[in-house]
Amino acid sequence: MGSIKESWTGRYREQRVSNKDLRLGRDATFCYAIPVGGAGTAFAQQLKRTFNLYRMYGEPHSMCRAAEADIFRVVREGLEAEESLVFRFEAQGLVWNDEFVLEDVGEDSLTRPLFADGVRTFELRFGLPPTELTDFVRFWFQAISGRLPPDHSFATLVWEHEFEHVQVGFRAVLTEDGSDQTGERVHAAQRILEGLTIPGTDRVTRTQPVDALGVIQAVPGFSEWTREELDQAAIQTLPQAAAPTGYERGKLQQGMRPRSRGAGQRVLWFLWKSMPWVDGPRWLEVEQFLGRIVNTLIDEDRIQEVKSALDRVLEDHDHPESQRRWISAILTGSVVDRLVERCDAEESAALLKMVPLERIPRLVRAIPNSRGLSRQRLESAIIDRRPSIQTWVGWIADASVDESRVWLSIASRLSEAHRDALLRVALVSEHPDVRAAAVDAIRASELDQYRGLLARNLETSKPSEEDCILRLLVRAKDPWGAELAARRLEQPSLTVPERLECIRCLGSVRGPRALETLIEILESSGPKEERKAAALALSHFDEPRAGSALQHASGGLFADRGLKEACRTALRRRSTRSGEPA
Amino acid sequence: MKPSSSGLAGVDVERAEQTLDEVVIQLNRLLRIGALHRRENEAFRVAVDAFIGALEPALTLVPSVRVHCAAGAVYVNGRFVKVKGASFEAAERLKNTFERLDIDVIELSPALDRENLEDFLQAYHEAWGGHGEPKDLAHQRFSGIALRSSRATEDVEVDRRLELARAYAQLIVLLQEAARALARDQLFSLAWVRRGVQQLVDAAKGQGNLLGGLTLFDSEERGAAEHCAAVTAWSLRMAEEVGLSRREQANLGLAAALHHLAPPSAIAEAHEGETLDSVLAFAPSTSSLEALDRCSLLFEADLPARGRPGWPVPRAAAQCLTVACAYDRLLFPPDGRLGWAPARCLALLGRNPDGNFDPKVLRTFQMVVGKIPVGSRVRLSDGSVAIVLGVGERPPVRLETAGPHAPVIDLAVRTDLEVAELLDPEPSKPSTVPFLLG
Repeated sequence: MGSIKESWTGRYREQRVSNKDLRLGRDATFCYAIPVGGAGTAFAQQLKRTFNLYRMYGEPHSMCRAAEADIFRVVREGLEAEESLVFRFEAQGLVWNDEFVLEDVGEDSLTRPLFADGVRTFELRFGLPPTELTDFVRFWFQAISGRLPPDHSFATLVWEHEFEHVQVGFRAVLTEDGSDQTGERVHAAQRILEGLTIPGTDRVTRTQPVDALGVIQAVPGFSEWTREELDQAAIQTLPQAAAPTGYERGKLQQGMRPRSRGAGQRVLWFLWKSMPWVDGPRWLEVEQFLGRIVNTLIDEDRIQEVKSALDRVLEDHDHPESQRRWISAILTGSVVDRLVERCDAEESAALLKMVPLERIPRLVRAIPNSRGLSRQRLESAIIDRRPSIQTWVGWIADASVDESRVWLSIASRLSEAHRDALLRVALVSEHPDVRAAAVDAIRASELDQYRGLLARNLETSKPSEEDCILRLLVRAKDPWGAELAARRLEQPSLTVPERLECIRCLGSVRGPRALETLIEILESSGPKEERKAAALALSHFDEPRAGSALQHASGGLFADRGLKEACRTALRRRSTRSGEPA
Repeated sequence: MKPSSSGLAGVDVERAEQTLDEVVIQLNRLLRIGALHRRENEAFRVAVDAFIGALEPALTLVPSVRVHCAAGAVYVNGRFVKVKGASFEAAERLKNTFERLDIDVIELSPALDRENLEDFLQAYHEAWGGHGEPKDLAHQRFSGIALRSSRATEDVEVDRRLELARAYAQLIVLLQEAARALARDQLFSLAWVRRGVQQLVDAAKGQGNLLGGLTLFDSEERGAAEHCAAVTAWSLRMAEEVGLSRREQANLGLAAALHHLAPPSAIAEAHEGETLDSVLAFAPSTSSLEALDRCSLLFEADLPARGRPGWPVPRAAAQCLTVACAYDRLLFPPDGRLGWAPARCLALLGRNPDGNFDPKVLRTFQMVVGKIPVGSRVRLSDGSVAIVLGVGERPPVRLETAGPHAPVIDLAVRTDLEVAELLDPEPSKPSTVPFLLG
């Protein structure tokens, strides 16, 4: 059994809470949260608990939903008894029945942000549905945790929500600190109100215009007016206008309602049309604005609007330079990254195809971590751009190993020239792994093109790179491979598997140098695994010397049984190939 | 000497204000002493003398002294008691007294002589001293002194009118703050402006004509904030007229409030890319679709009704802003020049130059403004000058010479009178707005 003591406004009681309750969580806190003070106090306690849970788990979590249900239960019980619960905000906390039920403590005040926002009272009325209470509580939490929607305060949210059973009272005076009669704002408003209410205090010093035409020409729509027109308009009144018909009212309603759909697209289009007035300093602002718009649209899952706006911009062929600046401003690095994350969506993929060339490497960096359709789209976003060789070289100059692999896979789908440029850049990369990846990508038939670079690399290469080159030479069956393998076998640092690999390579490459080396290994007293590998490698040689060496090794009186078996296998393979008996 | 008005005819306004403030101070003292002491007490007599000494000069300046407590503030003859000095302290204490008496207004007329005053104080003392309920005092009649509760219909109206005026004033202040912040490239809280608009929506409910009249408020410093507040008011009127919800009205109002707020030079002098500058000023706060829609409206409001080649056609919401903006610019041209009478501005707009305005929106605007706009200065058929208080062919008016608190003359009832002429603004004439709030 656990004992929890809760102190509140000087009145507390001790409750015994079972361990089972504590394990369940939902009721444990609830049990001790019912204070002696009544419904208002219980509401405050539950509110505090709910806010804590919001902070810990986030609003959608089941624990939070359970807490919301609890708070509703408390309120419902309270409302059954009292019809309505009225709370008052003070600078120091929340008051119910002339007692503080929530007190302002330190920086994490639950009430101060609402008080400062001008909230004076709130009343929970009988019939309050749970959804209303939940919304109200969530707004409250958003206000105290700084998570209110953009350009909103608690007061504006509540006003827009139009609660039916939650009545919130606000101070009429809009002061920053929530007080009634302080601050410059109040004084300024009172000065204006004096002007509104007391004749003669507006202190207007307007004078008759020297030129009335000048006045009217400054008004939109009247800029082209002539003096004759103004004189004709000197009549004082016109007949009363006919009221709009029902149909017209409907059209007006439609046109006057907020329309969030397409808003981003419209603003982008207007900005584009305003480009003739965009000079240097303004461009910086426009550029930032574009970024902000696009990020908002991505947040709101309206990428299609960005796509549509850009499509229209690209149709405007008269301003190629502005188009370029625009695309660069819209598809910034961070936007590209966000689009990459969403590139399973068709419109994102379409936008990625417009990514400025200098930001293509961002797509490449994303490819290794992407799979399936996303990867295909990213790759095609790059391939469809058909970059020039020069641009291409610029992209790949500083590529990492992973990126190089992506580039290599993409290069083969671009053109031979792109591939060649990539390989030449990669083969002289500072990173051995990049060079190794490039070597792996060289086809056997292309060996002669890169022989010089490979030879140069071998002078300073590491074993891993040598391995790659060796594999290439093996694929090309180039005699240089025998040289390289033989030279590698002389290195004492080579591991057993690496030595075995070299021996197998010698068999594949063949040639006199390889034969010589293999016979030498077979007849040596070295490790039997190497000798067995050499025996099997010799099966690839048709030269009689190879046969003799194998015969000799297989007939050795004290030779290893495994070695003799390997030699016999090699001899069988040779005879099968030549059609002669072993 | 400042411009005179019919309310404080031919006097120095500052001196009149001081005189009225003195009445508030002495009234507070009188009521406090009257609650404590009987008429036999020396302090009582001194207080009565001091009060009469303060009241007499005031009644030479105004027909009656009206102390009004509304929405937590005290007004004397419609003027706020300044938040400083002895008069303010007195006003603060008067609020408590008013609360206990359950009244909002004490009106003192020239009929109040010493004898009447002492009779009233006797009843006041008794009501305060436990022989009755202080609230009962409001139901008694005294000569020369009237105690009224805001529950009386007329006073409720006064309260609501003042509430609307205050909401309008607050919106202007919030917009002034925002304009200053924008001029300094600083961020400002759009939430406050939204709140200001929302308050105006609430306060304007059922008082659309008065809201229209408030847009005639003029001052020496009239700038972007006042212009935007006026356009907001007209946008709200049109939105209400076509039946938009409260929230939709506020949304349109917010766009109107911001439409020319930045740069502050925007309404003073049109320049190329002006709209772009306005929109860019709000760029830092465009982090929602609603904000983007607002930006779009700002752009659209700069377009003629039929649009421009290659540009989108503006929506009706944008046209509301365009029409209201043009109307306000005709009323209050930039650079301190004098505009035309409201009816003439409306007539000019009605010509719809180059089809610049959407005919549907224009007609809606003309409807809400009315043929003779509220606040217009007119000459009546008997030669007197009056201020129009309502809409219609025969609207209610107040005679200019009788002051802003003069009785309302309803031309629908007074069939012997009619509007003979609409008067253009004159350089020395003060605003007509106080007559609307009377």
